[in-house]
Amino acid sequence: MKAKFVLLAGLVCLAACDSDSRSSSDNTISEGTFGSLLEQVKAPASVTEPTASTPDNNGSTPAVVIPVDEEARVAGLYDAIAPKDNVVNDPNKYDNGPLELSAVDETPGTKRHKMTLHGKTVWFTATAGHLIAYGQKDAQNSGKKDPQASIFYEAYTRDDLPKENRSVTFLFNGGPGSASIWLHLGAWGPKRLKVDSPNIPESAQNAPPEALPLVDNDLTLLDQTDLVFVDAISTGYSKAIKPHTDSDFQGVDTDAKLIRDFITSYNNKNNRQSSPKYIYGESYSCIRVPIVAKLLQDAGTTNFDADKSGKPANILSGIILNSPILDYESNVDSDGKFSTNAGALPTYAMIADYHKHLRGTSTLASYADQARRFSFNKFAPLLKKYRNENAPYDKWKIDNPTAEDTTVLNGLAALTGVVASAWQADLNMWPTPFRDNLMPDFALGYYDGRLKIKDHKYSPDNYEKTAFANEIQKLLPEFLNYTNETKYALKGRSWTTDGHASSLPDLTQALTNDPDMKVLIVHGYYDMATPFYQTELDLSGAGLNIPVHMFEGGHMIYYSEAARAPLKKLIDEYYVPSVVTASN
Amino acid sequence: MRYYPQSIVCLIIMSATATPMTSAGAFTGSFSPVAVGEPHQEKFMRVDEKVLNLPRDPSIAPRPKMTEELVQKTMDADLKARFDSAAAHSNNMLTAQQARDANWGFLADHFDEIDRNRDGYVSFDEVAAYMAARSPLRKRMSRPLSRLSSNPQLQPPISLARVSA
Repeated sequence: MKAKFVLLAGLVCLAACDSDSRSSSDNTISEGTFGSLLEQVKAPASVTEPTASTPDNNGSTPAVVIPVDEEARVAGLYDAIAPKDNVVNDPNKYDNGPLELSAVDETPGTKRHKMTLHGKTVWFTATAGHLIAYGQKDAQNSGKKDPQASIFYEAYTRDDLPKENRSVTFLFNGGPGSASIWLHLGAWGPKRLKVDSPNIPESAQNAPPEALPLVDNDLTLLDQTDLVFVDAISTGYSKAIKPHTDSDFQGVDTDAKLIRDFITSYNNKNNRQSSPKYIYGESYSCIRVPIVAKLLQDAGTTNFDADKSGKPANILSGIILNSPILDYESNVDSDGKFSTNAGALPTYAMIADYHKHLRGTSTLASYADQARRFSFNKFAPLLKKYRNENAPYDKWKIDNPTAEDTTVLNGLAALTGVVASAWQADLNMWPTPFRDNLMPDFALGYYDGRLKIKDHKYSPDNYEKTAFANEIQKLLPEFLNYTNETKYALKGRSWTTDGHASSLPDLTQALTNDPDMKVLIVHGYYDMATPFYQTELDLSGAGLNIPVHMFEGGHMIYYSEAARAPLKKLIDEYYVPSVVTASN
Repeated sequence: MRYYPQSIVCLIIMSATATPMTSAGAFTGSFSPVAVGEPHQEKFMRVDEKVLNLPRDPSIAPRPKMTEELVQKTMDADLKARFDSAAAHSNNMLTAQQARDANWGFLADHFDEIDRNRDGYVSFDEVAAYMAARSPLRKRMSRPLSRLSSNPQLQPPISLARVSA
């Protein structure tokens, strides 16, 4: 490999490359996207005397011209700053009770990687380990902090970028009680498992696959932001510290406070006080994230360690809500007091169209809009008319429909592909009977109603589960240098809403605290767990006008190849104002 | 691109008393846990073996529909509870240092803007007025905030009328 030279003095490069170093950099790119930094860039890693210099005629700062290329400069900068590789064999067990504080070691596994993004080689550090989430300091108790829990996280950071400009995003899957593995391995990390929804190969018609293709993720969010995937209490390897127990943090509010405290610990430990910060939540985490946002703003910098850089602190720049539930009382299937299927009807229509081609020449967007209008103008009034508070939600029926009722029932049939008589017998039809009525011979996905398995061999909702579970056990030691004998917990104990069943007040409070907080809401057309129209109804009902962006996907929008690029493009636009350095 | 919540056509009629509501405190979370049949258990669990239509939790009082009015009411109750807990040792007035001691950095950081009469103390009225002016909700209730408190004994009399921005 051709030697490259980089001037590290002041970590500033003043010179451009020549043709030799360009060809050398081309070689670097073609050597595969993930390699060990140490073997690739030994030369740039050491400070090298400039081989040529041009005296500055003005006699001020001398301009130095050296043979160097941009990639070598970046590699050298990264090598000088990034943590060295470190292998962690964590001896703790996470399938038992809470940990002793003395057993918690916050030294993470770290491994350096490079990958090609937008045609350029970028370096990043994969990190996996624990941080202690301390309770807020207690002024009544001489400012002491309570070590509450040891929270497991997987981070990908581009350490060569200046921290005050480089965003960091904390990502959470839902549940409650789900590890953040789906976003981590399925969506935005540097490696991803290609789920390729809604396609299920013939070979997986009888049982879910043991493995899915692991591919370099050319749509990773690493071009915009550092990524920290956080596993909620009792998921992944996250555990309470004695005398606390996991159940202390298994509640809407206690969980959110713990997450706040983890984020504070991460900022302090990694000197990210000044970085723009984002929180990305999916599903239940759209209850969690607005609460965490509110709590972070409320705390301000009170629990920040002093930042030696002197840069101004950043609390929170924005939140991303991926397939949100905003109110358990209104969401269909959550059995809340106000939940009817009126919010899910447009989703039913989209799923029916996918299987039965009902929309003719309409676009997806216009068909969805047609379904929204039908739900609002025709279906909701009919539901109201035949709502039966004394009967279970699935026993609202129409014994003697009027002519007008029949017109609406026929409209429902045309829109959803389910016969009018079925609607007449179960007007408040929930996702499970809808699926059975629509495609009786198939098991359809709940998270993505396009997925189908013949003869109900298994639920397509479990299609990717085994492959993800298998991959994380390999990826943690191999890619993130973290090993533990306990199995990574995909799932912890769930919890109830405890009366805090909606995050709409918290979202509003967060926007009150910071009217400039950026909010991005994205939904998939085919997701029955959190139907998009219900989110729109929830938002408008609460007096919030926040756009909901639609994609051709399910609950995990990012599983669909067709949705990934448009979703990434939207997220790019969302981040752009705070990302000056990402393309460098 | 920024997405600001903006005013929206409001479908509900704002009235201080038109809608009977259960105690706002009931929606602010942080309750003592009650033994329940795990009603929403695993509803939005990413890893589900089977999605169940679990029964509604009978132990928690039904909540009114989440309207703009109830959003505001819930926020007001939360704010009051936050203020009361921070001011528990300080006669219902807060200095910037007391706010900081209560880990209420938001209040400390915006103290000079909130302390309209520049006396070095903020009252709940001043905090509430500051928040109301920043709210993304177009319509706000114009009733005295004291009626919304989850803890009426602790409050000073309030004459504040909240106005729409």
